[in-house]
Order: sequence, then structure tokens, then C-alpha cells
Amino acid sequence: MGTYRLPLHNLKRRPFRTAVLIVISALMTASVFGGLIISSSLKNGLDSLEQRLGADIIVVPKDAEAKTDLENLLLQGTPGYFYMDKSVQEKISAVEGIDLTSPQYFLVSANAECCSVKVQIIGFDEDSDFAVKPWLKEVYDGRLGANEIIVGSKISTRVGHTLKLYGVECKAVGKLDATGTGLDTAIYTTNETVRTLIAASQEKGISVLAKQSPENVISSVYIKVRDGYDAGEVAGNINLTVDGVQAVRTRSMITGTADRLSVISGSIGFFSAAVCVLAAVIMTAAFSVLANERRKEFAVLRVIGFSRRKLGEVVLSETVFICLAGAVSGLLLTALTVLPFGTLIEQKTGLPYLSPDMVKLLIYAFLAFGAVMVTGPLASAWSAYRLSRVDTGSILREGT
Amino acid sequence: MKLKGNILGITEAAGAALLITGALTFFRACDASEGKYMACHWAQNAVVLSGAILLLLSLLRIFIPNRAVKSGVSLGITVLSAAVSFIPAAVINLCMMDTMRCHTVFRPAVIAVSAVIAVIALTDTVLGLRGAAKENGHIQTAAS
Repeated sequence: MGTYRLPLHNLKRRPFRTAVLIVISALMTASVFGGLIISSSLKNGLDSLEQRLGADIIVVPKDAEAKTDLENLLLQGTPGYFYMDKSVQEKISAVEGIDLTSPQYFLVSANAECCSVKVQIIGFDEDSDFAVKPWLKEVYDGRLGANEIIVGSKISTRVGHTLKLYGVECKAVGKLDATGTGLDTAIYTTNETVRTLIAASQEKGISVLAKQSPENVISSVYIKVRDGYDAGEVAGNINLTVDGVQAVRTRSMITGTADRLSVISGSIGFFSAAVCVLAAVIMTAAFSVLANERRKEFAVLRVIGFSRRKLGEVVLSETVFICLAGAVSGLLLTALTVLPFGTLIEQKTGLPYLSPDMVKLLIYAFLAFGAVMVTGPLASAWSAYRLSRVDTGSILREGT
Repeated sequence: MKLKGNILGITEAAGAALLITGALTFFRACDASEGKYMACHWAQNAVVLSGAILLLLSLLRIFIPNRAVKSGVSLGITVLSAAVSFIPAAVINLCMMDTMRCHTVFRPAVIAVSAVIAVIALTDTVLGLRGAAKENGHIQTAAS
């Protein structure tokens, strides 16, 4: 019987023991692979958010909820809207150190057709915008016309199809790539289209504006600070000189998110390491106990002509087969549980979450596979050494 | 019915039962809004119906004594469970936003459960066919 068939027969003969060891190595693989995927997805999400914000400062109304609404909108995609007077933009432009300003409109659709869900609509100014257009250009290079929209990756509308918002048929001319942020669930259009939608909402009796005319309001102003000026100082100056607004540094928003992300990533790293150490300890203990139990079996194999080296190979082969089965099932388990539930993880953590690309996934799978295939044989190495050096005579003389 | 030869069949039946109960309860699609069902509700119904057929096939697989027939039924379970994973979104449309329950919970859970059933049933088919081939070999040897 070959070196590979004997270990397989040994494993089949003890199905419970084999199953438990496979489950342990599968859990180890799943914790390493899953941990790597989640940590990397959170980091990708944060990087993506940083790139997509595109402004140094965002100015919103001074209401207590406006800043929270803005963060929820950008990070979690919770629809929200708030308005301030349009004249604010001119006052902000007069503050020293400001290079570019661009207004944006936020609007929340009523339940869109087919689904009981509200959709965030973001209107931007085609002429002055510097924050949204650079990445909208990746999917649509033209100028957005009346009632034309670009949809986020998590809205199931296809390019060329229309979406009815407040009864107005809006044509999707582009669909953005996933960013892992709240921006994935938004619809982008021009300020003019947003005004049309506000007017349509008023006609339907769902008025989002109390007294003001849609022509005289904006939701936020995106600001690019001139080179050589400190964004923090400029934000402070805006807060001092312009009434009724609050300037939010995008960096501070990202820092807050990064802090929460590092806590979560740290916990995941600790959990994965703990599972690995625990799995290694359990495997070492299990193989050590088995080494004592199987001394007689190996003494018999030695008598029938197995060399010490071959006995060691039998033990190590058993471990390799167990780890192989565990690693493959662990990888499959993770692929089935972590990858498809990405959006749910994003919703539950409230953090930007963008799954890594296929190449990175394969690298992580290889790392997790390697970790198990190294840990398992190392855990059984001492047992293999002990069993290969059994004192045949004394063990067989011990009798039954 | 022997337990030893039916462990995989029982696991397939448990998986099918999980698919039915899960699709109706803890990983169900979006709830009705203002008394109106959305597109995902029909995907949920299709999954429940397929789950019921899978359960029936798994029970047949357990109680039929002939090994070759068992393997044939397992092959049917493999194909059907693999097909079930395509019902949400690919065969029947789900809701408009990927952040809705039917996208975040229902679809991934259906894919996960049906994929696990498919893998178990495929293993069952392969082992069953090998067992049936061995049985045939023994019968032929005994006859000659």
C-alpha cells in the first residue's frame, strides 16, 4: 500500500476524528480569508470615499442635523436633504483662500416606482462643478441634458432605461462603478433637473421646501482651497464670517471614519490571530494524544518493513489531507458567506465597504490556504517525529 | 432505512428544509409595502417551491433502496439546487436598490444555501455511482 493510500484509509477509519480536524482547519482558513477580505474591503471603501469627496471643505446649513445628515448621506447612503439661501455661495467666495466653489442640491425621491425605497438625488452645477464631474466622466463624457440622470452602482436601473421620479420620466445615461460608499445609492443630475423635480413634488403635494422657491436655495457648497492656504483655517474663517452655515472639513469626516475603521480592522485581526493560535494549539494537542494512542499501530508497521522516514511521511500525509480538505471547504465557506453579504456588512457597520478585485481575492485565498497548510503539518511534526521513533520491541511486549 | 448510507441524503433534506423555512422567515425577501408586493416576492415564491421539490427529492433519495437510483436522484438534486441559486435576480428580478433586503439578505442566503446543497448532492452522486459500480463488480464476479 502506498504512502498516500494508507493515510487516506487511516482517515476513513476514524471519520469523527477526521471530521473534527477538518472543521478546525476550515474555521482557521475561514477566519484568515474572511478577516483579510473584510479588512481590505473597509480600507478600499475609505480610500474610495477620500477620492470621491473631491473637495477640501463642504459647507452646509447650521442646523444641528445638517452635518449628521451629510455624513449619513455620504457614508451610509441614508437619504437626506437640507437647504440654505443661494446667496451664501457668493459670501463664501469672498472669504480669503478659496479657489473654487460649487453648489449642490440634495433631494429625496418619494417611493420610486416598483420599490418602497427612497432614493437620494444629488444635483450639481455643470459649469462650476469640480467634485462630481471628474468621476462621472468615467461613465458619461457628455453634458447632462434636461431630465437626464447618472445612477449609482447599487441602483438596478440600466443605462438607457428611464426612472420615474415624482412622476417625471428621467433617462439614465450612465451608471457609476461601485465606490463602497453611500454615493452608490444616489442619482446624479443637474441642478436644473432637481428644480424640475422639486416643482413636480410641489404639484404632487409633497413639498420639500416650506416657503422658498427652488430657484433661491442650494443644499451645500463644495470648496477647493487655494494652494498655500490651510483648509482648517479657511473653514474657521467661513464659520466666523458667514452666518447660518457650518463649514465641515472633509478630512475630519474621513479621520472619524478612519478611526472607527481601524478599531474594527484591529478587532478582526485580533480575532483571526486568536482563531489561528487556538487551531494550532488544538491540532498540536490532538496529534499529540493520537501519537500516544497509535504507538502500537506504528510499531506493527515498523515490523512489517516501514522505514522511520515512511512512518513520519504517513503522519504528515494525514495532516496534509486534513488541512487540504479543511482549507478548501474554509475558502468555499468564506466565498459563500462573506462575499455575497458585503452590502449587509456595509449597512451593519455603517462604514464604506468596497470588496477587493479578483486578483486580490486570489492572493488572500492563497495566503489563507498557505497559513493552514503550514500550521497543520507544523502542529503534527513533533508527533510524526515521536511515532517514527517508536521502540518496536518494548511496545509490542507490553501486550494487549 | 440505514443511517450510515443516508447521511448525505439527510443533509440534503435538511438543506432543502432550511431553504424553505429561511425563504419564508429569517432570510425572506422584502415585505409588502402598503399591501403591494414587489418583484422580489415572486422570486421568494419560486425559491420556496423549488425548495419543496428539493425536499421531496431528498426524501426519495433517502427511502429508495437501490444505490444507482439514489445516485440519479442526487444528480437531479445537484442540478436543481444549482438552478435555484440563479432564481433571485438572474431569473426573476429583485427590487430596484441593491441595498434592499432582497439584495442584501435574501439573494446571498439563497445562493449560499443552494450552493452548499449542490456541493453535498454532487459528492453524494459521485460516491453513490462509485458504490454502485463496486456493487455491480461484485455481482458480476459472483455470477462468473
